[in-house]
Amino acid sequence: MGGYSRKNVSEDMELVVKLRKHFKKKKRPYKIKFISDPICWTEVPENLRMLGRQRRRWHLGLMQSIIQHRSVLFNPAYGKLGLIVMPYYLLVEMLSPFVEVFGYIVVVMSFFLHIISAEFFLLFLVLAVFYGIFLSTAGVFLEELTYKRYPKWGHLAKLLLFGIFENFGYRQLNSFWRVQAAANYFMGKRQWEYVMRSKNH
Amino acid sequence: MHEALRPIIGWLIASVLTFIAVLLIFTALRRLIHGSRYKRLDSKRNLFHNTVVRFIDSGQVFNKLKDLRRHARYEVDRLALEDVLFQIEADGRYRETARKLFVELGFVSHYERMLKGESTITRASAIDKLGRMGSTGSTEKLVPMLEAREPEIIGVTVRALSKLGSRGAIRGILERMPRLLDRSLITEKALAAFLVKFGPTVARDLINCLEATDSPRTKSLLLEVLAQIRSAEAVPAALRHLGDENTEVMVKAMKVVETTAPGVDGFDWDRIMERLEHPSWVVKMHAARALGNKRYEKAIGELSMLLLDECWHVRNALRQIPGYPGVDVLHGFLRALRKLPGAGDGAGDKETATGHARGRRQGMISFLVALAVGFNVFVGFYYGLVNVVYSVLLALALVAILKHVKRIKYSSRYDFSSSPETPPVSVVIPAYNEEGDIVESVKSALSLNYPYFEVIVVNDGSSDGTLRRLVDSFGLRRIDLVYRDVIKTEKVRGFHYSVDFPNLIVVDKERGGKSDSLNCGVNIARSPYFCSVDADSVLERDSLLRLVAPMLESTVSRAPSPCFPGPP
Repeated sequence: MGGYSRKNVSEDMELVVKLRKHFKKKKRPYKIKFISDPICWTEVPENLRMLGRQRRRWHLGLMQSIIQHRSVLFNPAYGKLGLIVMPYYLLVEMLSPFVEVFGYIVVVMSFFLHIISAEFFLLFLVLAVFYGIFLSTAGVFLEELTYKRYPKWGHLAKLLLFGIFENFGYRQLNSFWRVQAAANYFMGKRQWEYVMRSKNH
Repeated sequence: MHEALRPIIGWLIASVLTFIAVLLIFTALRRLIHGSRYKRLDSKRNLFHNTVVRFIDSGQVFNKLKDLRRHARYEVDRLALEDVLFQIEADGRYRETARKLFVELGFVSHYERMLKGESTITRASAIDKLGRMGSTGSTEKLVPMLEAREPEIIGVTVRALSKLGSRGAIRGILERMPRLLDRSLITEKALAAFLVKFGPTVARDLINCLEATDSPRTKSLLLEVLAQIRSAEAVPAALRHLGDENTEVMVKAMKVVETTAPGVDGFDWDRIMERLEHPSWVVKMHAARALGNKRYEKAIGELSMLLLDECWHVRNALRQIPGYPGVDVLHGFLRALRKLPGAGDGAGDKETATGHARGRRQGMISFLVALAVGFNVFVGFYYGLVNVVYSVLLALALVAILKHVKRIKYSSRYDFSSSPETPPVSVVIPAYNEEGDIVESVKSALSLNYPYFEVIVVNDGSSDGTLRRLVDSFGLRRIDLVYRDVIKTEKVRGFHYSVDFPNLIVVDKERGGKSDSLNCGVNIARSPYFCSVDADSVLERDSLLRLVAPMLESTVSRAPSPCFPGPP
């Protein structure tokens, strides 16, 4: 298949999409398995600027994969990939930052236009935040059931607390970066933004 | 409308809060209970370990059985005792006693009862335990499990039977031979590995099965096992199959010749020499190795020609034979060079990526004031959709992970860590300006627990001291390798090898990006299986084993390598 695609910045997702597409086209049996065991430990960016670059890059890679393989979208010939997976990425992962960022703007606007009441808005916000917390907690719980890599109570508490606080600031920042990535893409900037590694662990 | 929704939202909030609270309480309770349970298990284990060993040493263990049986009634105690017995069984001195204890204390019958259970995971776990307990008496109960519907059960049973090693076990497997391969997740490679465990004593059974079967898959599998067992009895049978119309069978027969025939007298080596001209590289390779092992003088001229063969494996075939007469090979080689019109190497296939896809310019639709309401409604539904999707994913993940963790307990990965059937893996590490982490990452990659692997570090034209740090830490020296860029990449500047770590190769190339470096690494990789790792990542020691095990047990055929004539 020509190896990894040089044009895509997140080559790992790209490779899997390419593989699935290729084999489905050729109608040959294949299996792509996901091993959920934690077997690799990696470094994360140390400051906000670098984190922003990383997230933008990921979102850019996602968009590239979807756009380059758009023939797969909603195409029953590609089975689950075309009908469920790619649409999921398009509608849920790609669209959500737009909805969110736009939502903030529209909500403020709606205020001034007296379309909605403050109370209703607050209720909805609380629901959204709590559901986010639920998902994060469920994630931690899943980890507890299985791999148990965080035996200390203190660590568990930290994880849960972060699950709460991420809703106030981090989430919004993420969405902002992703919208930025999309904007960059449509304005023609499609390269890999280099993330600097720190020298100390 | 908003007024009507308010109580609904109120209820939703309340229920989400309840879920969160439930999860938190559950997590906390689970930790507490598990923690104490684990401590009890541990202490019981220590207690039992000392007690049992004392009993055995005093020779009185069978008299003291009543005591042990009393202990074996409670769940935690039973588990502790079981673990202890497994530990003791691992020690060669106490193996027989431990096995008898398993039977006498009712562990074997407990698990034999579980064989009739409903759930696949319960049954598979029981089969695995019986295998590990070495309970040869259970052979009759286990063999019928080979007829089970679930391929997973068949796989675990074969493994367990191979650990038992009884005649009934091997006969049970061989009788069901062609069917086993079709119906189960075990590929030929894995099945071969397990049959090899039975050892040379079963050669006769294998040969009988070989004569009796018609299926080429079975024949090649049996010949593969015979090749590894190296039993001289197999040579006549192998000779008979050298002319088989199925290439795979012929190749395996050749492999038997390669490993076993050199020790046999009166063997017709000229026939093997004829095979050096065979179109398939696999046949050539095995024939070359066979002749090399035998140090067959007449073949030296032909064998030297092979040094120019297109396929790497054939060229490499002779290198592995220690002490092969070097000078004669050199003369033969020079003679061969003069004969050839010009060195031609087959250019690798090149599939260019299809053209640049231009994204459709999607304009951002701006909502007019009046549409703000519509947007609110949309957000409501969208949000509902997204959260439903997330919840579904969460539920699926929960189920899958729980199953996976249970399965790990009887997984085969450690069986593979010392098996020659485990495929080699090439670990590719692309690196750009990683001087801080690169040495750590490479060191961790080199210390992986896996039988055959190589580590390929691709330096993507770093502008800092990445390469220098590698050279210093691993004592790298330059080397010229024959490099075929099957996938076109940026220009390669050089290769480095390390004396201390023979399975480490460092490639220095011009900058081309991460995908480009990976492609370069894949070009060099000697194995059709590769694993890409970031330069700042550290792998756990078992990673490759965990990754390879499910692949070996899959129904899909193996990956084509650059030389292997894969399907079109």
